[in-house]
Amino acid sequence: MSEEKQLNIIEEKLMSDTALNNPATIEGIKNLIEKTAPLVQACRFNHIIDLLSIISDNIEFLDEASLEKTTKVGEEILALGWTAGNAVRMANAQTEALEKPPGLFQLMSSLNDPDVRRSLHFFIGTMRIIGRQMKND
Amino acid sequence: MTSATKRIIVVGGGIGGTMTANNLVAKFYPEILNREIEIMMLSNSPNHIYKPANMYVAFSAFHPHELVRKQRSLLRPEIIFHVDGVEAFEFEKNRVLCESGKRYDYEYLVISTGCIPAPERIEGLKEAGDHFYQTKAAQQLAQKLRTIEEGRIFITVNFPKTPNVPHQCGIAPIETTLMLDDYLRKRGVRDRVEIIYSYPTVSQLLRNCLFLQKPTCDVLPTIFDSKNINYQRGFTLDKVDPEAKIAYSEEGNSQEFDILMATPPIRAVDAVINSGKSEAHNNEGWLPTDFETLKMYGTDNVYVMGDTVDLPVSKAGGSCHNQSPVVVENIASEIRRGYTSAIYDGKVQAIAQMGLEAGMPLWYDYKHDVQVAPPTKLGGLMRKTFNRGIYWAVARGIV
Repeated sequence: MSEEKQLNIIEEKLMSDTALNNPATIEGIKNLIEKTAPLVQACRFNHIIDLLSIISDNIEFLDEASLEKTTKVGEEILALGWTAGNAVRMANAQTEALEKPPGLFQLMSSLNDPDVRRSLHFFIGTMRIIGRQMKND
Repeated sequence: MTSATKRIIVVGGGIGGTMTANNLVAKFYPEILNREIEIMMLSNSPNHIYKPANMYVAFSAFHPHELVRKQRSLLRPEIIFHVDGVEAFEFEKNRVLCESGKRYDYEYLVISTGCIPAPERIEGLKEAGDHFYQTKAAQQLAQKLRTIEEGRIFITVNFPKTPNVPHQCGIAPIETTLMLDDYLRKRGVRDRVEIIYSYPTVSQLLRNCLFLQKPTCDVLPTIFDSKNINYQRGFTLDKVDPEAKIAYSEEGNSQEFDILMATPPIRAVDAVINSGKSEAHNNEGWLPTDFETLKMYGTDNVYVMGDTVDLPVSKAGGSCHNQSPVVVENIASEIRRGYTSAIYDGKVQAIAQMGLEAGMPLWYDYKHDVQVAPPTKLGGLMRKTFNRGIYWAVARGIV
């Protein structure tokens, strides 16, 4: 089959498709080709293809186990940030609402609050764990 | 709380109640700081369970503890949280009575108490059937699916008797049927285990279909045929003989089984049923809900969402995600402007698990049936990411 005949068949096939037969589609593709032409001509479009390949390969490699690990880390970071952010925002609002700063005695008496003692224990416990991790074995 | 503080109570610590309580805090933050409004949540459990993922427990793909978080850890600190189940709603007095005997007054009430599987409502189903809507039941099913070497697994779907109200999570029976096929193939026993998927004669507004919406129903036979899954229309489960292991239909048919995997009948929680406000059939308890404002009919200050409504939308977290902003905006609008301003369009979205690996994003609303897209690996990864992490961000009201 001659090259011209082959091209005619391809053109006929493409034009029989309703989407491709639409002038708006042809105009859109023309614009797309014009926009990508400099990238294609300078071989810079290859980087986009390579990037797509990397994304595609990673989707291919992503399995149940790696997904479980990454989402767990993601949730832990999110939960930590959310909890800390909420606490800071609420404490900030309470502090801004004060007419005058609490006195030393008032601050000391806060230690009677079990919630304060619980959070102090949390901070001391966190420091203990960090200290243990920093120890030279 | 001062005498001028308006209290909004959210009842129910599931996905709907949790995201709504958090969204209420975000919406009313200025009023909360000024002590004009307080948000209270009442739940009967200190823990939050990601219920839809119980179906993964049935296929040994999730450990039960992975579905649980402390409820307090999912709530913003501005929320007053009591582990105290509601025993009675006293709508006329604008207060609720809790199991502890305490009563809490409210200015606005949001009921998001979910639904409960009720296999005992069909003779023999509780004794002979299995399901995946609660953790213990899913663990029991997992044991059977893990060990079956040959035989028949019969799948049955049971709708509420209330007209045009769906069963729990519309797509779940199809998801689990396809997961079952994949799971048995993975185990290498699929050629010795017959799978029969059945659907009742009446499914909401449709007759003799395989799903509650026609476009999906139309493509299911091709999918099932390609996987050698048998299917039977017009099987409305009437009773089960646990000894003989035979399921009987109201239409006069019967099916033998080795495992009966059922989407069981459901009902509202006792406090909702006993509230006297439900007009649902068969004592199911769904509350009469305005389909646009989500306000309970017959009251001015009570909203209903999630599984508790009597609307023709899926009883699923994907519904709650779209109902919650409407409920929150309407309460805010009523308090600040004196009228409701948001309208629920019936939107539900989800990523259906189509087999163990593939996922299929889907959405629909009151006016449009679900549009079926091809399941993909990327869709499956999206669903798994949601299960493992995004769900908890949704509960916290972050997304």
